[in-house]
Amino acid sequence: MAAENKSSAGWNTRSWLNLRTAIQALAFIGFLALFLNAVPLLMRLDPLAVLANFISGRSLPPFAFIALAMTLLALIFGRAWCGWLCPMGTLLEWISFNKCRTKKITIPDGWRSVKYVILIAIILAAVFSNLTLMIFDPLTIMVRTFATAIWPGLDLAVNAAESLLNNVPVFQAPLARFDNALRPLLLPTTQLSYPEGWIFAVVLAAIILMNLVAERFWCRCLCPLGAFYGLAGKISLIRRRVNESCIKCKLCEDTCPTGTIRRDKDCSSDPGECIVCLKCMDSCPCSTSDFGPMFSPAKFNSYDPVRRQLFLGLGAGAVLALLFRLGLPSKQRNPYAIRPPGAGEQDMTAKCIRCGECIKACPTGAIQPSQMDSGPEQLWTPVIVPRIGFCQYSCNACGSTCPVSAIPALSLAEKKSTIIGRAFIDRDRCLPWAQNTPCIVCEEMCPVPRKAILLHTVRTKREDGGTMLLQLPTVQAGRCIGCGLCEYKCPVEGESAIRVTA
Amino acid sequence: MAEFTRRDFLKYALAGVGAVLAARFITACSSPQTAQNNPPMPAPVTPATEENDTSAVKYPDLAVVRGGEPEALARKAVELLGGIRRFVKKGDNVIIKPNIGPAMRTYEYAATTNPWLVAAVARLCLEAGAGRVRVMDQPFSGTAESGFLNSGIREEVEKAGGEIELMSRFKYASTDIPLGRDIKKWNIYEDILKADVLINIPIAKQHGSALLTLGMKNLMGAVQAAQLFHLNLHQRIADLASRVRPTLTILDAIRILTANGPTGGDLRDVKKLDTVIAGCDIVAVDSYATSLFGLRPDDIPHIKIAAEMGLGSNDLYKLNIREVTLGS
Repeated sequence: MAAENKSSAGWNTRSWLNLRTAIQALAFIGFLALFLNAVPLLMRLDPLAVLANFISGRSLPPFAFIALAMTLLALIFGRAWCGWLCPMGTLLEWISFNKCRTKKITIPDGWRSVKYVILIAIILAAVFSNLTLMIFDPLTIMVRTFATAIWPGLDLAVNAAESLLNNVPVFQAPLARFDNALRPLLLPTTQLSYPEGWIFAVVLAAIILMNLVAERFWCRCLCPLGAFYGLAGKISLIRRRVNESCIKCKLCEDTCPTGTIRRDKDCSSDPGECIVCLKCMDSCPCSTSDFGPMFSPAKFNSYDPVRRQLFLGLGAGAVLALLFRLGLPSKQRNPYAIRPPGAGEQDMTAKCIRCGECIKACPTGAIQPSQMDSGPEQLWTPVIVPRIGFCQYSCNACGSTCPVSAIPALSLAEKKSTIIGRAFIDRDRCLPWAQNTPCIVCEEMCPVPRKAILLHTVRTKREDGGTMLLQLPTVQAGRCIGCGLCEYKCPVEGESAIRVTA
Repeated sequence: MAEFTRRDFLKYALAGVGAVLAARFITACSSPQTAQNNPPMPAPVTPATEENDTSAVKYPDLAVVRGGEPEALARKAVELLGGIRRFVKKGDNVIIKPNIGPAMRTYEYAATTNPWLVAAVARLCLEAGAGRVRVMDQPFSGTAESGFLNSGIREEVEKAGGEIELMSRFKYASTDIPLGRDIKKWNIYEDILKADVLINIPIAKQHGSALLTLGMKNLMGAVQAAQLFHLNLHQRIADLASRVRPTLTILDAIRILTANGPTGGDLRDVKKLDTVIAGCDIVAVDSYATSLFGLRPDDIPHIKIAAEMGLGSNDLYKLNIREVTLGS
């Protein structure tokens, strides 16, 4: 990325900027494609996720070399990830609110250290086998929000539009074709429900709205992945250079989206903040700045994690990790926290990076982000909520999608015999037991080859005084794998009369 | 070109919504919903004895064909009933409703309809000049795509030239069931109600509470919230059968599931019979099919109820049944 004369007809600064815009768009489309097809590549590109998972889980996650390669790239190009590839960065650039910020607000430099504190806290909590703070990773935020809010929300909108248009006869045939052709590719085929999806939408909206305070506020001040790349940027090979002929005209300072170029610092920039967006080169009237190789490490700034930030991060990580553990999940675990097949309770704390890929992968929408009911340590880890969706008997999508093996990649045969919970019948609610009403939905639905629900026929009194035969369901515990299809389908309104507990 | 402002966008969006609402209003005024969209009963099937037919052929009520490949069984059964052209006219919109209850089973487990049988019927309809032949069902566990894939039905139907339709949520409409005794209204898939020809291809399976899953029980795939049927299952199955009336029911008894139905999963529960039972009278088909399991029609309450409601005949002695064994 050497500087070129802007006026030359060939490859110039503007071409670099166009290339960056194109790559950003392509990378965002790539993010959507990976998301829709539940390919777990995105999180494997995330060196922070892989590092934290490695420290916390005490074993290297699969395909860790991809994250290593990303780190090596950062040692060459600094925070170029943030300006060129990161879907969150791209989103924040597209919705920058640049025109809404009438007067230029300069935010205190000290705020930039928050991201380093978060980064260090994540790493230290990982030492205590706690990955709760990975909820701050931008890629987990993106996947989680798209899976639980944007994708199902879009589905609702499309369905509402379809229902409306379907009333007009001429639209019916094309609508049906559209629905059959595009829905399996772009939208969920069954209606998904995420009661807490709005929380994630609010979080993402808040991150976007922070742009009103300063451009890329998230990237400057909060993003732990940006902090990780920023540290690499301090010693990266290719960095921004300003030569002596600079006339301190301040044009680059005005265009810099992270506000790291400062006239009072000789228009130099901090490679830990610079996202290599190249806008400064374009704005410079005298072509005095360019990006090229530099060999000595960048100097530290007041907000860099030298002493105060380091101790603050370490302290916060340790205190949070230990406070969260006070609940001791092994002693008193939430009986309704049914985990995806094969995933242990310990893996959920220590290995799960809270990315939500499994939530997206689950075809029935059974996997939900757990809230505080399993304790703060388990926040937003996957749980199966059978009343919302069931674990499909012949499906192992969550395990094969999990980027860090927090949910093991079971073969279909293994998955079918993996016990994730047990069903219990509530005889006070069950229609035949409590109300003499015939119903065997749980038995009918039970997908295991030798059904785990048995029916006992008894002769019982009818309302009119006569007698009738009634089938009473019971659970054959040895056969039940806890898939929750019975709980999902139970026709008793409100709380199911058959419930699966872990 | 002038800039497209937010004001323009709002203007056009408003105009679009207005146009849709206007169109909806006009269609609503010109065709009373209950009269056109929700006829109380579909057009009756061609009567068994055709008056304009000089030879006055009397078609059998039921055709039972044994011993052969699925395609041969289907062709023979339809031929015995008078040939596919008795049911499918040129350009007809045909819907075939197989049973893909559990989405995860391959055809061997006899939990889903035999794919070659479905494809054979689709091919027959296309040969008769049908305009469109769509195959659709909504499995009760798993997605429709996986159901069509695992059962092998997608592959065979597409080979035969038929279409697979993933049933869209927006096409269910609240529908009156005038003859219903327990349910008077339910959300039913509109296309199935509107089809020129509906061919029901259930598979014969054991079932915990319906006792057997046959033709009438298979119609539950056409409705939303089917699990609520279980609150009064047999009556509701019959009620639904009074509203969703297949032109033809071709029961798949090539492999039947004798236990652990309707989901299956154990080949020891599967019995190979190589039999197809077809007829226009869904109650008659179901009645005959009970014999496959060693039962009588009266053992299955919903068959009894449906016969009482006048939806068909359960009296096997009075039915005209043609039984043929292929290759003998």
